[in-house]
Amino acid sequence: MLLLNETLLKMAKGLWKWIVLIVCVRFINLLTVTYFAELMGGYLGSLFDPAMGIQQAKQAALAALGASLVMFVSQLLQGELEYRCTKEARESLRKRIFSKVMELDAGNIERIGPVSAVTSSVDAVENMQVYYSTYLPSLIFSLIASFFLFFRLKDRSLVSAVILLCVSLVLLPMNNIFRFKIENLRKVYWKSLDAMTSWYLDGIRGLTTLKLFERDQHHAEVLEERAEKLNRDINSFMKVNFTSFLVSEGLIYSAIFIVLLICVSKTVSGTMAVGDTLTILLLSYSYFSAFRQLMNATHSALTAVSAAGKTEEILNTDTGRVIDPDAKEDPEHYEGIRFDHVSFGYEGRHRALKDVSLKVPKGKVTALCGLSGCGKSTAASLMMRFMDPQSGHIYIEGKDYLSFTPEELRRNIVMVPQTVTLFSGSIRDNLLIASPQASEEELYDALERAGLKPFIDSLEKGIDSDAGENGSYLSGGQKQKMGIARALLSRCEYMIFDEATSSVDPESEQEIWKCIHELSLSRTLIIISHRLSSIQNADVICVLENGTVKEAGNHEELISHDGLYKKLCDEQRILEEALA
Amino acid sequence: MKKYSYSIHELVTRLLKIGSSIKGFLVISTLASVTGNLSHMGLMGFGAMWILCSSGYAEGNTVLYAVLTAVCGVLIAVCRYLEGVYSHKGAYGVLAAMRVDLFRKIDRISPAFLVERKMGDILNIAVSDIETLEFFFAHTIGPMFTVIILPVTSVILAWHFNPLFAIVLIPFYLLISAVIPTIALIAGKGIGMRYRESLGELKSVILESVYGIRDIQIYSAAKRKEQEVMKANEEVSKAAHGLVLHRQTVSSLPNLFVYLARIAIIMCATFLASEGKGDPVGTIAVSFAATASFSSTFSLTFVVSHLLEAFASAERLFLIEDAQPLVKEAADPKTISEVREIVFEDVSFTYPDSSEPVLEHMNLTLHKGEQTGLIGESGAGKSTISRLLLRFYDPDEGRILLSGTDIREISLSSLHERIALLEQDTYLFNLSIADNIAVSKPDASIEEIREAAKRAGIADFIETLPDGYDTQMGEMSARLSGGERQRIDIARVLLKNPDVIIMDEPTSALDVLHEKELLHTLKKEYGDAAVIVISHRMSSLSGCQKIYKLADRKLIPYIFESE
Repeated sequence: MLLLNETLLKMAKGLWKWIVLIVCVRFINLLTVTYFAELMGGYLGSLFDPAMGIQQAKQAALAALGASLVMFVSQLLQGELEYRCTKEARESLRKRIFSKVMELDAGNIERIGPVSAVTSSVDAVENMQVYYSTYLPSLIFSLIASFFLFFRLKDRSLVSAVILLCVSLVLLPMNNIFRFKIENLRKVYWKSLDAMTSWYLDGIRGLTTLKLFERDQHHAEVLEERAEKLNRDINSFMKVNFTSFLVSEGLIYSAIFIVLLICVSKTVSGTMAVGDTLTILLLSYSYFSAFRQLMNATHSALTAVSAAGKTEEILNTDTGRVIDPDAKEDPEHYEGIRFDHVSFGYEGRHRALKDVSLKVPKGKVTALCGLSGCGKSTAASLMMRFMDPQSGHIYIEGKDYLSFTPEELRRNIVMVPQTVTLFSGSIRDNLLIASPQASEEELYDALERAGLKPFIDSLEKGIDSDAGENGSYLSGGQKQKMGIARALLSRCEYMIFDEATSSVDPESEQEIWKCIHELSLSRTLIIISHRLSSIQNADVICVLENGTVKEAGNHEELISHDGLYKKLCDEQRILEEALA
Repeated sequence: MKKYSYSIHELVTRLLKIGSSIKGFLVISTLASVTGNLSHMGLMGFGAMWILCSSGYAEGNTVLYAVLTAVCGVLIAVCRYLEGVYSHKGAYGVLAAMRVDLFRKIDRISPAFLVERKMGDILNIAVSDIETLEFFFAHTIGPMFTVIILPVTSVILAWHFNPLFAIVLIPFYLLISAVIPTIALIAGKGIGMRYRESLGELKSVILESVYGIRDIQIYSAAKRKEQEVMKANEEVSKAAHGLVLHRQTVSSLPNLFVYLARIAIIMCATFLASEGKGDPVGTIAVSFAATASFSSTFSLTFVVSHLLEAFASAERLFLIEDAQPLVKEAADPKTISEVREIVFEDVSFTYPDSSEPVLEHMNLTLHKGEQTGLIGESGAGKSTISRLLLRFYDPDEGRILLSGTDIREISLSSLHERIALLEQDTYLFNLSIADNIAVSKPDASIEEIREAAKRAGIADFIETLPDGYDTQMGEMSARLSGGERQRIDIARVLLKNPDVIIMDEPTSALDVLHEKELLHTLKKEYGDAAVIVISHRMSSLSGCQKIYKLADRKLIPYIFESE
């Protein structure tokens, strides 16, 4: 029942005042419960006293009524305080986790898993609050209640008081003896839960594939095995878990029994009034309900701890970027972007870029091409500072990338990715992402230049039309054009098009290339494309292979000697001519 | 009340049928639950009697009461253990069986079912609804009995000492376990819903932020997204406030009445004493036992509301269970050895939930060794042709013949053996790459797998992975591009030896060189098979001898290459 989690405690800052208040209210409640029990015990004991009058009974009833009302109010108050506590916890935890998630780079998101990132920010936070609003107050309250009861009883029967105190103090760490075994079994059962769930969901998601390859029956058989294994593991976990409950409850009720035995013998010997004995029975019974509540709270606290474990991974991810305002300037003072012996590799994968040096001249069009996996998109991600090179330097207009924060850098350089993401909200909202202060005129200008004006005009609500969840009301081509309109609004000098047309219909493809061509007249463009015919007018074409720059030059230069570029061009030409 | 597609009687019968396999566990856990809660009453009641007897106020065997008190203490602990262990044993057992069962049922009505329903809905049923039923079996049935037996016992006990006690207690029990909970249920209906909805709202904001993180980072919009999230969070808190207030009222109000009940007993006793019919022993025993009878926090409403939820979940499950597969295998299915010719004869088709026909009187003949392209706007129904050929659906009119045999007469396994589909979006299972390729041929040797990967043009890529063919696809699959995924699918098909290969938008994510290589591979490997390529891009169809265009629900010859 003692479940102190470092991660959770660390994040409890600012919540302690609520926790203390909750404990206080619960203590008031305890005082009233005790008063009520004493009132009852005393009254019931005095029933045998012939002198007991109706007047006394009335008084006792009135006092009890008052006590009941106080208890009622204090319980409502406790609820309100618990809510205040969860509200604050919810806010601070969610803010912390979400802002951390937003700092993760692609590699980290992938390592943690996007689904896990979402559950950490949503469900885990909801689960973790219980630790602060219920578990911690219950724990503190149980401790206080133990001592309170001790002082209350010690004058009536010191031995009983000592026994009850000892039992409560033993109970707290009691479960921790089982904890080790429980934790181990829990791990086993979570592992099989994971194995079963992923197999199950995998089967449903990939059912068409399984069916077409006649593997569905086999999948169902394995599912059955895994479900059975999970069942066995859960049961062995539950057995130990409930055994620990059994021991705790055994202790509680043995204590009550022994205390009762002592009190009864005292009553027999005449050293204790019947009323007092009855009070002690009532008190010890309702007193241990605090412990039962704590046991229940421990259950939720376990969920909270496991939820915290998941978020821990995210919170502990190092997203700190090196920002060094004094980083050395480019010795070449190149006008544009320059990669100087840059290497980069994703964790657990071979180097995506090996010792790459390349130049993106300002005001010109630079194309990066090569086979898939050659490193061209990695180069673009580095230009956006989604991640940092492992070695080498990137300079922009003479300054080292490291001297800018990613935000500062991205005021100069923008990207239209392979698939533009639209967020739910209106088309206007989606444009304002790029430039929150953009005027009406600027918005329409961007739409016009991205070739979206006719489409927007055709909509009943125009620019205020809903884009749908994930922009589902727009076609793939229209989404890409939205990406261009956003990029225009950001007014960056450098624009990267990362396979911006690879997933759109041929007609949109043409329109987008037309738009890109117009842009090339006024800005620096970096175009990544596997379609060579679309980049042959570029001022510089860098051909990459296996993470290194193979060739660079303009189309005429590259085509004139027999390299990779010529080979790719020839093959593509044959292919496109075959069915012109 | 909501109208169910099944009568309550039918739902209950079917649920009980599911539960019948764990009957033993359910009986044990229910008995334990009832006994445990009765023991709480016993502990207090006998305890009080023990004190009274020992001090001479009541007549009775002191030792007997002491023993009974001890027995009750033991029973509380033991029953709690038994209830916990057996209710979970039963419920998780049923849960496991239901999952497997549901999987088989969905399997039976797929793939058509998967085409029509949103994956999110299906997963919801597969996960949440089944969990609701687990809760029903583990935590609803036991309390249902407890909630009835406990008050009845304590009323009988009270009656035994003096009917007046019983008469006073009955309204309290009614209030506490029926009236208050019912009002709470009605008042709380919208509150829980609002909380879940606001949480759903928050989830979708966070979900799109995580999936759209690249675009957010491009425009440094994280702060603005955070504001949006915090706004949604505010709504969650507001809804949670209602939830907490409701929960707290619902739990403290009965508590208040429990205390009032105890006071009422005293008043009663006082009244009886003044009438000269006082029985202090009875008063004390009733007072203590009644106090403990309220220890069970369950209420009728708790049971009823969970029952309603269980009914709703059961209904969705039964709808799947009772759905008939759209395609039935012939009673005496034929196997085919080789497909030389495919004929679509006057085929018309409309999707079951739609009124717009997709194909009308469509005719098409394909031959072995021929590469045929189908081009058309997206949404024109190109994929429908492959779905009909693979019998996801049967045509409404007309028929499809494979080498002269109607496909309705051919066994599905034979059909899947002869016809392979390369899907638009390749699903990768949470297995190693090697196992993902070997989905099509489980007994394939690693050499065969490597060979297939090589021929599919994915071998080089796999070699670059640190774990090679053993790389687990779980976390990695997101990093694979569409092209790489597609090539894994191609490797799968290459492990089989089909006569017909359908490629649905096969090269939309491949670059030129690989597209060419792929088409080349297909020609080389499957020169004598019938290849159908479906695409909106002409360049992907470059290897095809014949190209048809799908327009106006019909196929029209588009380009025919001269021999």
